[in-house]
Amino acid sequence: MNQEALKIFTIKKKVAPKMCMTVTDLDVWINDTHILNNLQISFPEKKITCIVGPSGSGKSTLIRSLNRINDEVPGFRTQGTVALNGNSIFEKSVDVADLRSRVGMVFQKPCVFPKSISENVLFGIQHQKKLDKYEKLQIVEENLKVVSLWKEVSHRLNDPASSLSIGQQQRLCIARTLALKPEVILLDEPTSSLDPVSARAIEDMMLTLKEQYTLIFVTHNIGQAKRIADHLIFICDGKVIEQGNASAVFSCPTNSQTRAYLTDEFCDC
Amino acid sequence: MPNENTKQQTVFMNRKNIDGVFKGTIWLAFAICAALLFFLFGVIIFKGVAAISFGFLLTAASNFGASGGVLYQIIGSILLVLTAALISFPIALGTAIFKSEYLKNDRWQKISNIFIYGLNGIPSIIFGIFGLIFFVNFLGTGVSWFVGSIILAMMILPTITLSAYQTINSIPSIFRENSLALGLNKWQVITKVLLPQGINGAITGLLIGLARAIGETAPIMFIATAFSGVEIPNSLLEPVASLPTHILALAQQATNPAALQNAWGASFVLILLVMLFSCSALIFRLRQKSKTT
Repeated sequence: MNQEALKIFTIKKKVAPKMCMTVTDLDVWINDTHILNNLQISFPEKKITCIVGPSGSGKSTLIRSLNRINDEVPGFRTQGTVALNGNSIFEKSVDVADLRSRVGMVFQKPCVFPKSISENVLFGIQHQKKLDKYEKLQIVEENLKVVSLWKEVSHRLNDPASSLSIGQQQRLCIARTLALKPEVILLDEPTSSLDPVSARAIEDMMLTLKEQYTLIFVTHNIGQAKRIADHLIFICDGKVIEQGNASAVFSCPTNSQTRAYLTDEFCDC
Repeated sequence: MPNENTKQQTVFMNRKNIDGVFKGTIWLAFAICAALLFFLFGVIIFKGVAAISFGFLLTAASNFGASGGVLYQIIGSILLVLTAALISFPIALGTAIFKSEYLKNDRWQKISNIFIYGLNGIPSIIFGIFGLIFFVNFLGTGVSWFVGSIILAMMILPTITLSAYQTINSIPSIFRENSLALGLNKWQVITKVLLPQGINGAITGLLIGLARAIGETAPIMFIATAFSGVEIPNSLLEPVASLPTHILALAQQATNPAALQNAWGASFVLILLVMLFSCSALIFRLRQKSKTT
């Protein structure tokens, strides 16, 4: 019996994924509003972690704290630690611009800059290092291929990015983030302003992206979380109610609130 | 019941009448405004066109302005406002960026507004007196082109600042967030994202400011201009001639019909210059609009 247990333990230990980002005792306030309350979360490496929860539960605040984009919000205050590969991101010595190129972010509404398609792909990376013409072309082609936009736009790379459809613009935004070669990609409801076909295309793309990147994905669409999540976190009223392996949480949630939310999209917390 | 009906009808009639009166009043207000503008333009064009000729535009004034043209006055006015633009534009742009991107505290926003609107509300003669006392007398600069430009730059600073601030501040914050998320630092966000999108608005403000500055008389008449004997200044420390002070001097010789005729001509040229700046401002504003929509 003991030997059996040891065997299971060692197997578990072997397959336990490496954690890329960890959140410890995280509290977040904006002015006097206590938005996140004592969070303990681990984000496994090269997996898709879905964060679900009702609106106003603090999902976006959490994901926006992971690359410190919330630093710009007046009255934003944190306590606790968020670590990327073991190093705290809230340390004074951290170069925030460098952190954000290692932890990329895709927003809810696609936002392309009033420039050409290829300039948009290069927008972040060309401010990090000097690129020659050949390298630029290579980066544009490589990243547009990853987001399956290359075939559609390869003949008009110099057209304004605003001429693309909303779904294409969102894929362009993802390509722009991928060009920076980040370790983690945060996606804040990236499909909620898209049509179902474009949304599915992005979901499929994420399943291939997770081979190379750690993806942290906020969604209010439970069906979507079911389709793509490896790891699931359910947040309600600023607290983590349940987290764990997605199929386990979906098939038998231990918490009654989680069960209510996953089946009826209703939460009484 | 019939009583109720009549009551309702009266209320309806009253509402209809009030609506009619209101419509009539605002039409009248508009008509008065348009008529004033047409009257002013009409008089200046009617009186001024007679004085205008290539000779008037291209020769220097002589006989205390009663004969000759306004060549040096045109050049002087343009020199004054262009130098004022060079001084004012960078300061205004910097202030606008600071106010929009760095000043997050509501109280300080309000205080900065009081400063800017306060500066805008100072009567122009006060700027003139300040220039005379501080620059000409205290610093001993003498009557010069440069001092006039500094004072005009101070006057148009609020106009440019507010216009630049409004355009930069109205750029949706998702552009800031998206560029920050791509690893740009604040300086890069401002120079690569906000300024390219907001520069047309700032230039609109600059041109509106210049349209105002070129017509100002009071701030420059003691400190920057001389009436006769002035050609193109050799250095920033020499006085210049200018159109508004020239018109003022000619109008004071009201008994001499030739001088008065030239005053109308100079007024017409001044109006044309103001319109040139205003129309350019309009073009830049439309370009900004097409860029943001």
